[in-house]
Amino acid sequence: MKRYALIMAALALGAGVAGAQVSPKRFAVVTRLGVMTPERAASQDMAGLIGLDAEYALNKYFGIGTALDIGRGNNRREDFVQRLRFGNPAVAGGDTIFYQFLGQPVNTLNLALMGTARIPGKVSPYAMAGVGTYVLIMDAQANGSTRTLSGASFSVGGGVNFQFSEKYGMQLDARATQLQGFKRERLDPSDGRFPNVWFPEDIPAPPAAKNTALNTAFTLGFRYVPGAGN
Amino acid sequence: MINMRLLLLGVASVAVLTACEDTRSLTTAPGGGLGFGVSLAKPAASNVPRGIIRFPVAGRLASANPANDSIVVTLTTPDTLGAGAQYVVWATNDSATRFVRLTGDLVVTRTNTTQNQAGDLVFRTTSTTRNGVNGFGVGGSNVTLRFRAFRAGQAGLANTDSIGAIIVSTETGTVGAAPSAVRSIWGRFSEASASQTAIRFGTFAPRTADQFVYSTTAVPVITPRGRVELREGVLVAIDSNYFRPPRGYFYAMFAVKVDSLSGRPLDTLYLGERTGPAPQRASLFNADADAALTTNNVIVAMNQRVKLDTLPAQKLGPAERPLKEYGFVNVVLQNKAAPLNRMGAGIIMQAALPPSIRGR
Repeated sequence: MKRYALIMAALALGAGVAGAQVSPKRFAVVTRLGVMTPERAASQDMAGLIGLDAEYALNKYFGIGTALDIGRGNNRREDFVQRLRFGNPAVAGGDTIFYQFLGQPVNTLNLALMGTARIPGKVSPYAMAGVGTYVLIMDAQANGSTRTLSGASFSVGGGVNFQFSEKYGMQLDARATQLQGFKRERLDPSDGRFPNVWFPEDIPAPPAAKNTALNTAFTLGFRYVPGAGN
Repeated sequence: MINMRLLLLGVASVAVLTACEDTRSLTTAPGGGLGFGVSLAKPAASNVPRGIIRFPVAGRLASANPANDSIVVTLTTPDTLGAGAQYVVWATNDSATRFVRLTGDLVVTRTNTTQNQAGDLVFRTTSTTRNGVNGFGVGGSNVTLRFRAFRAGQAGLANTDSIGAIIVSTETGTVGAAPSAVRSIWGRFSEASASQTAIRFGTFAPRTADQFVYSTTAVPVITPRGRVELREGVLVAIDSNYFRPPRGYFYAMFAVKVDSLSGRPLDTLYLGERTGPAPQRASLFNADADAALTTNNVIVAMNQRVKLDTLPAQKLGPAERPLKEYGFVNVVLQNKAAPLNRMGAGIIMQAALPPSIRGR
């Protein structure tokens, strides 16, 4: 009897939650704000991130959509040591060498087509996966010209959606995006013209470069379902 | 909900404005410190061992009066050898298969430079003679040796024996019937003119095609190049194109402390044996014998890193200027049998340190 009562209560609660949460065949828009942490070999600092997801719910479990992430951070300047020499080393007095850490702002844009799967409810965990393209836009002032780096990207992630009503909600989201065809040397505005070959032990070099870069993003989002109820 | 929208819009606006702030592009920072450097230059005279060998006028074989047949080795600026080591002079035949250790008289001429009361330089020469010498360890940058032996009376040297070459070897142990492998100074009768020849300094071989001549004058025949740089207590020398050291020699680096007023050398600081390219920085101490460390008798590249706080503190200046009063960094061709921390005479390359390093 007790078990029966519990099952009935659970079903009643689930039906109520499901009815309040999902809006099948509708679009949902999520604006996200958070941080993006590139892996160490990517030689970029942690960056602020703004994201915009547009998701169409195929049913109450699955959805498809687009995700746009815009990160604005800096390259990791200590990875781009410049040896700047002034004076003539062949004459009395020698020369003076400045060792500079060369930084520049880097904008990261990632646009992906994504699919989502969720467990319906007022507290709704979900997972997502996406494929798309990214572009890193370097600082034109530091580079003396426009410079970009682009390629394919793959994303996986997940989070939890907290439903306030049929129309509004908040979500915590974590995503890992792997950038393909990554070229770390493109983040160096000097193109490696002034390398530090004299004191490699004292000014450590970054980890070995990779041809991929993994960005991990944590965001807090505001979810809005146009045309839904309250 | 309108309030929530406004709140989110405000947060997003602040984020965008912060991200686009003008000064964000100025992210460069002088975080790597400051270095000072100067080029290495080849001195006019490198003071590697040099001199003349005179054979008996009669030639390879004894004359009618062997007591008058003298062999003279004049040798300038050999390194002073350490305890138990000595130079030994040998007579040998053309094919270097038979050896006779020569005994003779040694005249050591030492030139010291001082200043008189007027401040002018005064050269003072003193000579000492030692008789019956069959080995010697004296040397130095201000020393000339004259070793003379007569053919008559040399044990094992018959009048009919041919003297094809004179070899000065470096011996570090008990001297045997033949010179050690360190046969770095020699002269051949076949290369002599009017019974005398300039000393060959290098690595001797019985056949001239196999020998390696580092120099016949004070100056090596190739010119290395490079520079030294000091940054935050670390001295780095990167240089290239050095001749392989003669057998028994190696390249070392020294800093020379000088009197800032007179320029007179006061002290030397051993900076260590030279090393190969970074990051391995393999020791080149055995480049004289290990062919893997050279290419066509040339050390292509050197890269030496010296953390100055690992050196004797009493020799250094204050932490912020550890090479204060040091006027030069020398790359020296050093005899392995000489005391390691005692700078030899053979300065191959030299950097005159700028005031930013030495202080004034």
